Order: sequence, then structure tokens, then C-alpha cells
Amino acid sequence: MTQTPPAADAPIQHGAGQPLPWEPVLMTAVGRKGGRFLPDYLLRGGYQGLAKAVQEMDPVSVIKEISDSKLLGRGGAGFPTGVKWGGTKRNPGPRHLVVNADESEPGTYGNRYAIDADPHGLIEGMLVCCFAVGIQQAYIYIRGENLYGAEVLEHAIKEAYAAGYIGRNILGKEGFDVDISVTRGAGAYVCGEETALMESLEGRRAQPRIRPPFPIEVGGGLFGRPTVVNNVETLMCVPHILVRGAAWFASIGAPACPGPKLYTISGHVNRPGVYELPMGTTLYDLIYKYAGGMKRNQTVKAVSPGALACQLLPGTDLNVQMDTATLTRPPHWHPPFGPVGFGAGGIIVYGEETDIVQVVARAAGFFARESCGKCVPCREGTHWMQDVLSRIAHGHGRPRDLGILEDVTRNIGGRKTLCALGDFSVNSVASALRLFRPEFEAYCNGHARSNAAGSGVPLAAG
Amino acid sequence: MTASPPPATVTLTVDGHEVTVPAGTLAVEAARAAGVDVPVFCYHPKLSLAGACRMCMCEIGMASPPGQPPRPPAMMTSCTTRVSNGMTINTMASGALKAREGVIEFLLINHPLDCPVCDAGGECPLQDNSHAWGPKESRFEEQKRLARKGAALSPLVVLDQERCIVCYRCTRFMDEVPGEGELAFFNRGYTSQLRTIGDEPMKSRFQGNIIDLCPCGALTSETYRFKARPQDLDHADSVCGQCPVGCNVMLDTRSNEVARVRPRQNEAVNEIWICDKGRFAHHYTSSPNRLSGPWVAGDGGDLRASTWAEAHGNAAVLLQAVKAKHGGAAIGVIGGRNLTNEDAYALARFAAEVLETPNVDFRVGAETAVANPLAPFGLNAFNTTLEQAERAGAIFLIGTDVYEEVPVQWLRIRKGAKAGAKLIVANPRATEADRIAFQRLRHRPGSEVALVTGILASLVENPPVDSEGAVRDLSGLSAAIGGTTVEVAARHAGVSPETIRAVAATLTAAKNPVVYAGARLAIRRDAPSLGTALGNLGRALGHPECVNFFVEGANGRGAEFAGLVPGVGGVPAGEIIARAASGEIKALYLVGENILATHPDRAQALQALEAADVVVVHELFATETAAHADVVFPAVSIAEKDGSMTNIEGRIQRLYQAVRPSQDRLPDWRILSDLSGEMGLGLGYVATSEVTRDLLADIPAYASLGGKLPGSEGAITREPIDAVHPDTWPTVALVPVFEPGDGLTLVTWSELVGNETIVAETPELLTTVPDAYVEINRDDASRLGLVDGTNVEVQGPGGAVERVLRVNGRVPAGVCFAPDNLGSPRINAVVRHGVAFTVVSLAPVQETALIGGR
Amino acid sequence: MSLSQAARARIVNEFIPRYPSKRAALMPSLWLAQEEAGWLGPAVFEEVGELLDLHATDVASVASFYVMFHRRKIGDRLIEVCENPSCFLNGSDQTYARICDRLGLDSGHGGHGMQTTSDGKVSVRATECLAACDYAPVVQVDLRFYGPVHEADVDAFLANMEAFSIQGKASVSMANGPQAVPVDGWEAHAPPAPGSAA
Repeated sequence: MTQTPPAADAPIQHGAGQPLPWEPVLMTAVGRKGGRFLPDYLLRGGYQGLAKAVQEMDPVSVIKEISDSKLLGRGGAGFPTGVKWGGTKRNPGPRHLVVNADESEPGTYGNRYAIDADPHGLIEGMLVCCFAVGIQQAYIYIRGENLYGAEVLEHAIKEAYAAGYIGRNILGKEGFDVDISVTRGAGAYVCGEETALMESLEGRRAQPRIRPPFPIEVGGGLFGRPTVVNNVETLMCVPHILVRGAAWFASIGAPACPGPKLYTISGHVNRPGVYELPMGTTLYDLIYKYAGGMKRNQTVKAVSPGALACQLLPGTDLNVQMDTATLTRPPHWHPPFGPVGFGAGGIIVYGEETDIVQVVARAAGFFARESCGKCVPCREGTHWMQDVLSRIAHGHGRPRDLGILEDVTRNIGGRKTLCALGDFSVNSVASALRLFRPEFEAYCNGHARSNAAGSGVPLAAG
Repeated sequence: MTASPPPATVTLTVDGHEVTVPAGTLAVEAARAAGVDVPVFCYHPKLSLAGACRMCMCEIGMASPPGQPPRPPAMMTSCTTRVSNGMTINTMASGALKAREGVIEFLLINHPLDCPVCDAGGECPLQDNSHAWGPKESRFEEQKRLARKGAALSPLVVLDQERCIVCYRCTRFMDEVPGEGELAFFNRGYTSQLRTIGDEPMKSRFQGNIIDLCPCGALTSETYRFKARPQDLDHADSVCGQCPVGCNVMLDTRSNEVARVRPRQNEAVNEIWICDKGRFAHHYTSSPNRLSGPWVAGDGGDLRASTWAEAHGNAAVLLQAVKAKHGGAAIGVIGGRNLTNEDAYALARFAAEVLETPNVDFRVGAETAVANPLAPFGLNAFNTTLEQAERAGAIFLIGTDVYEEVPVQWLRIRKGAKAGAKLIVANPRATEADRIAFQRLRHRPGSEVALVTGILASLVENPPVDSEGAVRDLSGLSAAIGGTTVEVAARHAGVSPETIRAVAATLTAAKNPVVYAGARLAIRRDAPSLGTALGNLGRALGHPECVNFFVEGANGRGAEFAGLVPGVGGVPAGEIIARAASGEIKALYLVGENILATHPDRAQALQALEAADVVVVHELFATETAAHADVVFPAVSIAEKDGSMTNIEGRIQRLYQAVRPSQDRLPDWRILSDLSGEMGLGLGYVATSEVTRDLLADIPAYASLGGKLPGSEGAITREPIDAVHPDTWPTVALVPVFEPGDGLTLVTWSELVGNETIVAETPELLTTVPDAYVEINRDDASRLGLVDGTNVEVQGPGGAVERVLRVNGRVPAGVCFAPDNLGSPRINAVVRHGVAFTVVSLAPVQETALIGGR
Repeated sequence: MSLSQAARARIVNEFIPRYPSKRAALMPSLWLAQEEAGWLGPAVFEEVGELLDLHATDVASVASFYVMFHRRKIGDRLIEVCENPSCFLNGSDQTYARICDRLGLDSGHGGHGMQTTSDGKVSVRATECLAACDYAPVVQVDLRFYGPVHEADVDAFLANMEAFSIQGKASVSMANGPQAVPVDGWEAHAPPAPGSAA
């Protein structure tokens, strides 16, 4: 990896005279010259959260503050961060922090922009965690494709070492020693799963581990040691919580899972991108108010609310609040597969032009290729689904295929696999079969709605 | 949080049956305890948990805390779930049945379903579970996965990738048990494939175990392929005859021939593993090359077939003549280390009562008449159990390559090391154990006494503290080592004093230390000194019974207990042959020993065979030694034997006949009994049980057995020995440092699988035997201008042989290693008996001139 | 092909000390080896294994798990076109086909198997989401991201990739700063909000 410092952002003009309902918290570096470098970070109040933790608080009160903020993990599972930190701290050291920067979920890209824009925000969050939990070695695992992000982080880590934010006796605190390094993945979606990620970090094939023991426990974490595994965005919230208080954080957005959220929206919207908004913003607002509405003024046919791993929401469900709590409880719960899911907030919007069969076939292919192969239902089932769906998408579907497909999704999904990838793999398929069955039936009866048969080229192109 | 100790047991319900099991038990094992068999593929009690196959899904409910509403049961894999009090396991819940049916369907969609031509058919978990739990018909209409069929992972193991269900049992075994990561899955997901890098053949000597572990016929045995169906096999419980560990095996026979060998579970000995020699080297038992009927020397000295009566008659006359003319002591008896206790006992009686000679020894090449170097301490040569290595705090290996010498015990040592035992490896050459060693000592060949003395000196400097906190009084030991300092001993041994002190500290700190010394150290001239040093070490550490000497031969310990060792005034095996060569001993009685290959001086062995007036041989094959005999008796192999053997740790174990012998071969005890009758002093045995009865009554080590052979676990036996030095510290004297000058000191021991007669009968195994080689250090190679991989002539005091040169970092400068069971002639052709250190020189030879090798 | 002295030194002095177990240095070591040679051959697996106390089979097995480690020689440049839904909805299939066409490769070859031009200069394959969906369709060339590269842009892209670079650029949505700003006159274009949530 080369060590050249990334170029500074070109200055970008702010605002267009609109009333601003919401001040960004996490993405303040965007548009500032040299926003990602340490001097600018300090200008923006950087490392004050860490200073407060080290100089005014103790580890226990830091964890309490994080717990009080009701910060839930932003990676997808939505586990309370304070509980995770406290649980890890209760287990004997040495302990580790692992930052999950493997962001590979199709349609999810907030972490990439967050790291590019504000690497020190992540590093500060990590240091607070290390201080609170008692950790001396922290690792950032970043997906191999994101070489640029790895370079940004390595440069920021160097800056932070040089300025004494990382290293020995940080901020003059005797014995507060932390080392941080970056490990790059090499192309495996499953590394987003925390135990697979740890396997990969340990130099193994990224195959998930059995739980228990859980990562926070002895024997379950990195190198068998109690380990906090946090998402990039989660940790970036942490310094702000310390500076502005848990109550402030808890007051933002959805009460059950508050805070700022980096929504990423893509697909058939006019202005795809990252939107930092309060957790719980409605899908309608995201699509129409912020993302510029639908391309060619299409109606919304369906939405993947948390990218490919989640179940599809019908286009009629636009008033749903986009947050972890809402999308994991009824009516957004469909036995036997469970919640629709919010994932990491990567929203893919499908307009009416979309041939949903083609999309689902593609999703099935993705999971078949990305299945690690450790457990049977995922290894064999994802490939079977891909085979059948690919055949259907190529116009060779048979009426009995849909029944088989549904049953196969039930034999994979519903917590039957070793890790969540198996459940993820059936979410698009099963929900599409539930919501858009006539389209599949058309394919299986020789009436594909698009010109897709054989070529895989969708109507929706362009 | 006040942690109360968890209850030792938990009570739960499995399919309505209440069962109480130890806390921490896995649900799948708890179900077994309740008599419910949950189907599994990836789960194996000897391997780490994988949770991969998802076959063992059950509906499991946890008891909820008092006052809280009951939690709904959930689907869980019973192989990764530990039981808790009040848990309910429903193995037959509809969700579990549906999940299992799904798993079977998934496994079968890409399985070739070629059971009719699959070796595993009839004993295949995939087949059985498919019938029991699978769907009745297939819904899969896509292209099946195509993959390698009949691919050789090695000359011994065949892979059918299409049958593989990717349960990771084989790779987990290789990674976790022998720790040889030479087999792995490549790619991922649907395209996962079992491979080695570059499809190089696997080299592990434990690879056969993956055949047993494979639940689906993907891994089969090259030597057993297409040979039999399980229902066509007969089975006999036996004990492996290839090394002193005494692994429990099952001999599966078809048409009165051994079709395959499988391990039999004995947690105290081999758990469920065996090595590849034990598994594959069985074809010799049914070889057409076996001797059939006795042979006697004709007038010209050439052997010709004879009747049993003629052979017995000839042998009796010849031996009587020597005994009458020169006395019994003019007859040397060598052999017995690979026979049963019954054979060994009969041979010992035959030597003592019929031949009346004290010159008896099972220890080929032995230079000392002392059979048990630890006897002065009142100890046996082996005092721990094999299983103790698993719980040791430190394991000290000195002068042994455990991988080659006691292979399955190496697995136990590894297990111990993984559980926290500090492994200390002292060896002039790097061994497999070095890879996981906590401390390594690369001492000068032959300097083991000095090395141990150094450790003793270090203990004198820093005496261990007893459990009561008292510093152990080692002043007597200080005197016993004559004031030798760590520095002086270190210089003798050629290692640094710091290393010696560090090793001493490790041993001192260890809760249950175990010391293993190689079998070759026990027969060397300085074995009594080493025994004294090690005995003192055990005492100084406060664990007098932690020291052990290995022994050679599958029944070496049994032979020792049976008294096949030099009697009063007798000389050791090495000396017997030397005296035969010099004409002092007139007759050699060799039982299963090809001394031309094994006596460490080939020229002398040849001279002995030629000089002796009488040579009588018991053999399975027409060895080159047998060619010099006056009478050759054809013996039976271990597969044809009933009786017992005693393994390295003194565990006596029963073996049962698997193959009925032909009339042309007899057990050794029977040959001896008949011959003794011919000589007028009949032992009078006609049934194995009679010999067993007598040996159990007669041999002191077996007095504890009450006249009966033990059951399937076997029983540890010990020789009762009175200590000569119960209270005092016997004196250890250092031997002078040996400097090889410009030459290289030869170090030899046996590889597990050499090109021995019995290995040669299994060609697949023979191809895994390397070309005969010698190994030297890179520095010596460049000094001598020798190149790795070329042929060299190895010149020593006894002669010269040609070998392939290996240049690497495994031996230190000044040392040349050569396995002594490779090549023809063997490396013993360059060795002179009685020379303490063999110095060899190496010279390049033309490529075409190679006559050594296999 | 084997590791340079500098690479060996970096593995021993920088990567191994970074982790409590030697094995953990494997991922960075493989990356470093691939940077040197462009791909990973058996000799490298042996050498890395020796440095990290691992069997070469073990090393190769780990490498084979990850699609970005190449166990065969590939073209001097590697072009990868994302084919996941967000890019697919924006025409990535056509982009992929056009790139193949321009390089004389079989566009019907399809998907994730790699094709290399006969002169060995360029390899092409489809890839999974690169996390830059606002610039869909996204193309990755030798670990750098470019987009959007529509079918019609392919010639221009192949002629001058840097014009399409999105490395370090802010998100499409943040062209004017970090603030999520409602689109001017959005209510006029949006359908009525469903239910009462609007």
C-alpha cells in the first residue's frame, strides 16, 4: 500500500438558501479544505470528546454515558453499544477493539464516505472505546476494495501517533496506551459478519464462528480475547455523545434508537447519495424530499430498506420510519423469516420499470457467490436458488419452480444457518415471491414481462 | 457479581426423558446419554466444534428465571449448545424434522449418489441419515456440481470431491490433532474443494485417520478400495504390532486375509487414532512371499525346504552339539521385541532352561547389559502412563523424535502441549516436536548425560520449593554431580548455560512434569549414567516417577518383563554379535531379527553369521540374514496370533487371532516348545492359553493381574524393583567431550516407515518412503562443496554407502543424520560396533553411480 | 517469482509485531506479495508460510477464499464492473458488455469469471458492490473507483479514466456540503404522502 497522503477535497459551496431543519453531526468535514486532516479536525472540535473522557470522566462513567445515549450499533444488528462495551469490560483482558469497516452490503456506502471525510472522527471514537473498556490493541478491518479508505486511515493514524493521540500515555494519562492499525480484507462480503471478520483478521478463511462464546467473551473474540466489534458509524457517534451529552443524543430522532444516521440511497432516485438525517426519517421524505424523487417520475415499486440483505418493502409502504426499531417489529415482521430489517441503512429504490425477477435473480447470485461455504443450507441452498432464479430469469421457468423456491427459502431462512448470511440470502427472494408473485408466475408460464429473457438486460436500464 | 461455583451436573429433559449430565455437556451428548441419537455429520467428539452441517437441529427450550414468563423454544444446533438446568430438548419437533430434511436434500442435490460403487456404502453416515431423515424424492432439476473423482491426495488416500459434503472433519483433524496443515479447503462457498497446494501428495503419517472420520465416502483408502463390503468382513480385536505404543486395532478380514486395519477406541492408549504404518502396512500378513514350511541347510550350505520334523531335528542336534562342546553360554539368543508375550516368555524359558545361556537380549544393538537404567531408583524404565502427557505441566523429550518413534503418543504430547504443557525438546536434530516446542536444546550428539547434569547443576543453584514452601535440600545432589557447574556441563553438551537454566526453571515450575528419553539412549553404553542423571532429576523435581525410557519393538516392554535380557554374566545383543564374529560365541538363535539390517555394524553381523557354527532363525520372510541360517522356521504374523502384548507404558493388552494360519507356519512359542521337546527338555505347550497361564504366574510384573489377562482397556503392569539408592543421590560422571575433527558425527534413528520387508509388501506405503538420504547443515555443505539433492558417498569406519544428500537447517554443523531403516545396504554398513562416536566423511559421486537408495 | 528482501523485512518487522499471533500477519503479507508480482504463485505461498510458520497449503487455502487474491497471472490492468442492483438499475450490464466489446472480449462470457485480452494487457470481470452506488454504474480499475460509467461513456472512459475518478470525491448528495437539503420544489413533483405520515 502506498503511503501518499490523499489529496484535499476541492472546496465546495454551501447551502442554497433553504431553511435547514437539521445540523449534521457526523459529516461536518465535507466541503472543508483539508477536512480529513488533523488540523481541520481540531478546528472542528476534534479530540475534545476523548479529552473529556480522559480528563473529566472515568471508564465507568464513559460507558454509562454511552448507555444513556441509547446508541445502537449502526452495522445492522442494532445492539446497544453501551451494553457491548460494559459486557466486554467485565471479561478479563487483554481485550481488543475491532472496527468493522468491511461495508460490503450492496447499496450501503455510508462508511466509505465517513472514513474519507473524517477518519479522525473514527479514531477518536475508537480511543474513547479503548479508554472505557480497557483496550490497548485496536484494529480496523477495512474491505480490500477500499484501498483509498485504507490510505486515508493510515495517514490519519500517522498524524494521530505524531500528535500523541495514539501511542503511550495518551493525553498524559499514565498507562493509557493504545495501538491502532489497519488490516485490509481481500474481497469477501461475509467479513461483514463479525466472527468471520475476526477469522480473517487472524489470517484465516473468513468463515463465521459458532456462538457462544460471543466476541465479548473469553474464547470468542479476536485471538480468543474479549473483543468489542463496532461499526464505523457507531464509533463516530461516540465523541459527539461525550461532548454534547447523552441527553442531547437521545433526543435526536426515533426515541427507541436515536441519533444521527447516514442514510445511503441509490437505485431509481434522481439524487442518490449519503444523507445525514435523524434516525427515523420516513422513506417518503428520503426519496422525495432529499433524494430528488424518482427517475422519469416513476412510482416506487419496491424498496430494499437495508440493501440486499433485507426483505423488500412494497412501494405502498413509504410512510415507514427508517430505523432499526421500526423495521424489526410488527407489522414489519414476516414469519418464518423474521424482520424486514434495516441493516446499515442502505436504501435501494426500485421504480415501476424494474423487472423484480431480474433483481432478485441478481441478489441470489450475489449471495451464492458470497456464501463462505461453511454451513450446508447456505452453501448449497444459495446456489440452488441462484440456479432456479437464473433459469427463470432467462425464460426457462417452470410452474413448479416457485413452490420449490419458496420451500428452499424456508429450509435456509429462519435462523437455520450458522450466521446471518443465510437468512439474508432468502430475504429478497422470499419477500419478492410474497409481494410480486404474478411476475414470477408470468416468467414461469412463458410470459416474461420484459425483454430480459436470455440477455439479462432489464427494461429499467439507464 | 458474586460468582458461585457452577453445579457439577445439570438436569434436563430430552424428548420427555429426564437426564442428568455433567455441566458443560453438549446437547447432542446429553441426548445420547438419554438414549436419543441425534444425527450429525460435522460434529465429532474429538474435534473442535464447527456447527457446519446443521443436521443436529433440535428445538431447545431454556428454563426462564423464576417469576418470568416461559421463553419460547428455539431451533438450535445441538452440537454447539451446552446444556443448562431445566432445558428441554425436543429432537423430534416438526421444525427440527423439517430442517433436517432440508439439510439432507441440500447435501444430496450435488452428491453423485454413486453408493453402489462407493467403498463407504453400508457404513456411510450420509447414506444412513439420508434414509432416516431425508426426503423421499428429489426436486432438484439443475446441473449437479461436477468435480474431481478418484483424485489421489497421496498414494494412500483417494478423494472423490463430488461426494464431499464439506464437513471439515478431515481438515480439522489435520489442523488440530497432528497439527499438519497440509490439507485444506480451497475457494469458498459452492466451489469449496479439498486440496493440497499444487496437488502435492500429503506427507503426514496420520492421514489414514481422515478416512475413518469422513462421513460420506469422499475419502477412501487406496489399498482397500473396491476390496470388500462391510457386511462381507469378519472382525478381530487386536493390537498394532508396528511400534511400542500398542494402539488398539480392529483387523477386518475377508476370505481369511486382512482387508484393512482400523483403530479401536482405547482412551488410555490411542484414543481413536492410529498411524499410517499401523493402518496400511498389513499386506505382508497375506503375502505370497511369506515363508511357507521350514528350511534347512543342505550339504553345500544352501537352504532347501524340509519337513517340520527334519527342521526340528537338525536344529536340536546342532544346538545340542554346541551346548555340549562349548557350554550354553556359547549360544547367543537375539529377538523377541516384536513378538507376543507368549512368544517372548517361551523364548526366555527356552534360552534359560533348554539352551542354558545368559546371552539373551531383545534389544538389538544394545551396548549395555543393564536393561532398566532407572532400576537403582526402584523405578521401572517407564513409570508414567501415556495418558499423563495430556495433563503434564511440562514434557521433556530427550534424544527422541517422537513423531517417528512413538507416533500416536506424539498426538497425545501435542494435545498436552495445546492444553498448556511446556514442551522441551532436546535433540541433536530438529524434529517435528520443535514446531510447538517451548524450549529447544540442540545438544552435541551423545552428550545427553552432560545435558541432564547441567540441568541438575542448575537445580542445585536454584533448588525447587516444595508445596509446603520448603526449599528442597539438594546438597546431596550437589555432591553427586561432583560440583559440575552449569557452565561446564553446557560446554560438554554444546548448548548455552542460559538455555539449560531456562529449561531447569521450566521443569521446576511445572506441576506434573513428564520426561521421555529415546529408546536408543537406553541401550547405549552410557545408559546407566543417563539413568542415574534422569533418576536424580525426577527426585530433585519432587516427581521421582516422572522419568521414562522408551523401548524399541512392539512388545519391547513385554520382552523386558519376560526376561529376554542378559542374564547373570550375560552380554548385550551388540556384544553377542561381536563375540559371534570373533568366534567366542558359536551359535546364534535369532527370532524375527534381521541382524544384517539392524545390528549397528553390518560387516560384523555378516562376519558373525559366517563364523557361527550354528544359526537358527525364526522368520516371516526369506531375509538376507535367514539366507545364512542352518535352520529357518516359518513363523506366523501378528494377524494369526492369539495372546497378549505389553506396550511401552507397561500396559498388557489382549489380541485375538484374525487369520487362521496355514499348517506350514507356527507361532514362535510353538516352534520353541516343539524344539525343546526334540532336545529332551520339553516346555510342553500346545495351546496359547497354556503359555499365557504360565507367564501370568511366572513374570513378576504380572503378579497384580491375578492370573487373568485384563479386559479391553488392558492393565498397567510394573516390575517390582527394590531401590539400590532409596535415600542417597547416586553419582553422575561426565564423559569427555567428543570432537569429530574434520569429519561429521553420525546420528541415526529409524523413521517410522522405512523400506523394511513388511512395508515393501504394501507398495502404496512403500512409495511414500523417501530415497535413502543423509542430512547435513548448510555450512558443512558449503565447506565440503556438496549440493542438496545430489548423490554422495558416506564413508565411515565400517565402509561406505551412497545416499542422496539433504542440506538444510535441521542438523547443526558437524553432524550428519541418516535414518537407519532406509536404503540397501543400510547405514549400518558404515558403522563399527563398539565405536562410541561414528565419524563419517562425505564425497560427491556421479549421478549414474547410485547404487544406494531404496 | 519470490518475495523481495524488502518485502520479507516488512513482513517480519512490521506486520508480525502488529498482531499477537504470527498467522494474523497473513492478510497484509499476501497483499504485499501481490503488489510485488501482480499475483500469488506457489513459491510465494511457500515463502510466506515459512515466515509465518504455516504450511504452504494453509496459506494458499486462505488466499483462495478471497476473490481479490489472484492465484493465476492476470492482465497488467484489472477492470471490474459492479453488477449489483444499484448499478444494474443504472445500466451496468451494458457498460460491462461495451467494455468487453471494445477490448475484444466475449461480453456474453458473463459475470465473475475473469477474461484477459490476448496481449495480456487487460483483464475484465464483474464484481460485487463497491460502495459507491451514488456514482452507479461504478467501475473499479486496479483498486481505484470510477463512475458513473454508462454504456455511452465507455470509449471516453477507456481513453481517459482519470476524468471519471471518484476517489476522494464527496457523495453526489453532498456536492454542496454536508447538509441534507430538501430539493427545491420537491412537494410539487412528489406524489402525495401515503397515510398521515406526511
